[in-house]
Amino acid sequence: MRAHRMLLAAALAAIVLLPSTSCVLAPEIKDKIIELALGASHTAAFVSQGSVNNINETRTIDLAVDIDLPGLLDDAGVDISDVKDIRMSGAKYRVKRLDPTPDRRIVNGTVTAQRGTGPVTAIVTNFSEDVNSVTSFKTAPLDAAGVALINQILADLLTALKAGQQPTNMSITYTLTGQSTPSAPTDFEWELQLDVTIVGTVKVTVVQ
Amino acid sequence: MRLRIAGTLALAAAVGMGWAPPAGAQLEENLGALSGDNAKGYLGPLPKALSGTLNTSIFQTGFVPRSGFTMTVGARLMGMTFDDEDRTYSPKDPPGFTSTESVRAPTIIGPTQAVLQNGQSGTVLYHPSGFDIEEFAAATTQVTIGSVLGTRAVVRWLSVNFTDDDIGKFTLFGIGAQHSISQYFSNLPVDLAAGAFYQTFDVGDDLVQSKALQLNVTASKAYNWLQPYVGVGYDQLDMEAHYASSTGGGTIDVDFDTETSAHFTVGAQAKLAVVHLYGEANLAATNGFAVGLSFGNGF
Repeated sequence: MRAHRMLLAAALAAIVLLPSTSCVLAPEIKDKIIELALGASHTAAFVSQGSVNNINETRTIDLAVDIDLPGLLDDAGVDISDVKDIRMSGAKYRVKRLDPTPDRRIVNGTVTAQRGTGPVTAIVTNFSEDVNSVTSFKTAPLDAAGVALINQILADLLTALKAGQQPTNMSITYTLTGQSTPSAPTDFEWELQLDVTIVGTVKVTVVQ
Repeated sequence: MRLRIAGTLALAAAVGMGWAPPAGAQLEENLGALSGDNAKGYLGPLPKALSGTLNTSIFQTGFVPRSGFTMTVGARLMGMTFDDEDRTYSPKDPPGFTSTESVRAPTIIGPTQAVLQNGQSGTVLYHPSGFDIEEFAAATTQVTIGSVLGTRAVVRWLSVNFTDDDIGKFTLFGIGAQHSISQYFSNLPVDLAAGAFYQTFDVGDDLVQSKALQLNVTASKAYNWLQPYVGVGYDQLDMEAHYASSTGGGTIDVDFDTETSAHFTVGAQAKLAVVHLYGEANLAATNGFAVGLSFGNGF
């Protein structure tokens, strides 16, 4: 008899509770504007071969081509006019191919960036790294002046694309300098990756 | 109440017929900018929500005939409400970024504004917005067929392919059984059955993959056309996500901690000829409600 009462109470509880489910169980379709955050990266690879002690390698890259912002936005379904900001979010580096010399190490490493024929600006400063093993990405110590330079190029890129113009002066020359120890010709590959963060709005339809 | 259920089932049917919510496409884009740790935080509310909905609305009766043919075919709609605390998470610095301040970033259900986090030397990192979702609902079709030795099979399935919107597909499949305990006792005051149910729920080809398990004991008693029931159970849900990183390339695989919880159900089912209508409340990983409509013989 007690079980009967319990189950009748359960039925009553269900009848009382269910009308309050109108929100949960009556989904609506709503259009919303959300802010999509996208990431992109820009990589400069260096091959260091034959240098003894003093390393000085350069790489010139077209940032607009390397990032391909229109393609990125197209894939994400974001119109260029809806992009609110694009900035540098960080940098990381890794050894892609190890140096065969035991205990090979790069010290006093610096990477500078030069936009076109503009001033040479430090972007990564004072790093050291063992290069006789392949590594995963490590966060690079950044210089504020270099970050400001990249942010300016990114802002110019966005401005040009929003205006429907071809971006100009997007070429950056990166130079890696440093010393290697022990003294012997180097033979390794190393890459620097600059990460970019982009935010833009997109309209979505959500069933909730 | 019937109109409300009809409306929601019609909506579920409309979605099933290809009325696509394009939010899924943006989910993958939002994930692409996140490291594995932060994707875990961003999708954090999902395991509980999926556990609370998928493991719901499976068994509505403790009555399983010892033999004879019984069959029901119907639709189920399960829903739950998110807690406010699920709307944000504390992001971790991804490789390459060193933050100089802590922020609370939106989860998938959080606010529709991205959050900017300042980092070393003037860098910034944007954390993607959420979709501002307060409730979560899932719909499925379910079939029960019995009985052999007091056992019935339960199967649920739903597959929706949003090819036009590049969302991919949503696939839900579940299979299980319910076995009568009452048949072993002559004087139980209620019908009692034990059940087990296993489900998979996938979003996209492998964007989000989840596996759910429910073990349950249901007690019910029929009073003419009305049958109240209660259930006690154990829920488990495993979830993983796989997506392409937009910084650095490669695929990021995220395994979420297994979600387990007790599950209590209280509900009532009405049987009008071959029409079954039920509603239930659930206390589980998340608290929610479910309603359903099915056709067939037997409770």
